[in-house]
Amino acid sequence: MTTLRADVRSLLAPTAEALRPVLNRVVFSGLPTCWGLLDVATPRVRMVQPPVVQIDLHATTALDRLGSELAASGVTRRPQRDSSEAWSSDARMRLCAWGPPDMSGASDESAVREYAVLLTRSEPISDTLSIRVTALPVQLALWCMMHARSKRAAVDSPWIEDLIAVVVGRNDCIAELRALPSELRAVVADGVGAFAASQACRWVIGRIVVEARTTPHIIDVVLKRLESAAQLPRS
Amino acid sequence: MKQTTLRPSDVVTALEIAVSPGATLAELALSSAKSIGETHNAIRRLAQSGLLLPDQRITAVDPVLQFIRWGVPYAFPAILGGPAVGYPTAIIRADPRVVSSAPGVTGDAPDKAEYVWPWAEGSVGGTALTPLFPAAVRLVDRNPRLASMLSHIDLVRVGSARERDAAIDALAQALRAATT
Repeated sequence: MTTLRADVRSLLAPTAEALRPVLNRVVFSGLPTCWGLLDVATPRVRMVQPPVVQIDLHATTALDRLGSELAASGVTRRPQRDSSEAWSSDARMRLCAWGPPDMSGASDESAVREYAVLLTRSEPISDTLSIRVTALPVQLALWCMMHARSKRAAVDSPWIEDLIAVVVGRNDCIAELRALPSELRAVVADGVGAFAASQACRWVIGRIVVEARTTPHIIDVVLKRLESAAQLPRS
Repeated sequence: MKQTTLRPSDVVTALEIAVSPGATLAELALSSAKSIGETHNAIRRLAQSGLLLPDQRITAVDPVLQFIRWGVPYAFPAILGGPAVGYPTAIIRADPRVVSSAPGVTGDAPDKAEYVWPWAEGSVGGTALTPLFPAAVRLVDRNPRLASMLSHIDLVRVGSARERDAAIDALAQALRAATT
C-alpha cells in the first residue's frame, strides 16, 4: 500500500531505477511526497506546483558514481551554489541531492538531517522497487531548518508554504509532531513560532489557503494550529 | 512638480519593447493592443522610472524583472472575482497556444483552470482574475507571446514562492532570448 500520489510515483520511478544499486542508502523528501497524506478537505491548500516539481534526496553515499546510470534515466546534474547537488529530469522534476549528513549531531542542522535519513517510511514505486521517504513530521523540521539556512524572507519561502500546507492539510499533524524527538520538536517550535509571530504570517496563509480569500476568518483557524505547533513541549 | 506613477499596462509596454526591438510607436501600439497615445505616455513613464535605458527605447531587462518580482504583486495586486469563463492565466506555458494543467505541463487544453481572464469567447472555467490591463484578452490572438508573458506575471501575483520563481525564470528566458 503506497501513500505516494500516482503522478509522483511515475516521476520518481526512472530515478529510483537508476539509483537501484544505492537505493537503500537514499531517502526522498519534499512536499510532493506528502501530498497523499493530506486528509483535510477544508480548508483547502493550494496544491498547484510549477511545472518543475522539486524533490529532495538525502544520500548517505556519493551519487556521482551512478552519474552515467542517472544520465541514462534522463536525470542530469546541474551546477548548484550551496552544498547540495541539483539533478533535473525531463524538465518536470528537480532532484536536490544532499550529501551525507554530519553524524556528530553537534548542530540542529546535522541532527535534523540525521533524523531525515533515520525516521522514514517505505513506499513501493513499482512491483519490484520501493523507496524510503522521510517521515512527515521530520520533514516539517527539515523545512524549518531549510528556511532558516536559506535566509529567505517568510513571504518568499517555499519551505514555509510547504509547512503551512501540511499543518493545514493533515489532521494528525500536531499529534505526530508531539511524538518527535525533543531536538526536532525544538526546531519545529522555533521555526513555526518565529513565523507565527511575524507580520508576514497572515499574508502567506492568505496565499496558500484557498478559502482564505473568500473567508478571511479561516486565517485565524490556521494561525491557531500553527500556534499549537509553536508550543510543542521541548523536553 | 508631480510624482510619476506607473500604470499596470506600462508593464505590458516594457515587455513588448523588449521583445520587439526597433519597432515603431505604431507597431508597438498595435502589438500591445493599446492606442498610440497610451503607448507614448507609457514609454515616458517607463523612462522616468528607469525601466527603459536612458534616451533609448530599449527595455532595461534586469530592473524590469526585479520590478515584476518584487513590485508588481504589491503595486498591482491580483483582483479575484467569482467563477467565470475565459482564457486561462497564471500558468507557465511551454508554448503560448498550449495550456498547462497542474502539476506539470500536459499539453492538453483543460476545460478548467485555476484562474482565467473573464472573456465571453473563452472556453475554460476558473476563478476570474482581472488582467493587468483591460485589453489583455485581445492579445490572445493578436500577440500570443505577450499574452503568455502576462500569464507569467499573473502567476507572480497569485502564485506560491516556487511558482513565482518559475514564472520569473520563464520571463527572464523570454526577455533575454529576445534581447540577445
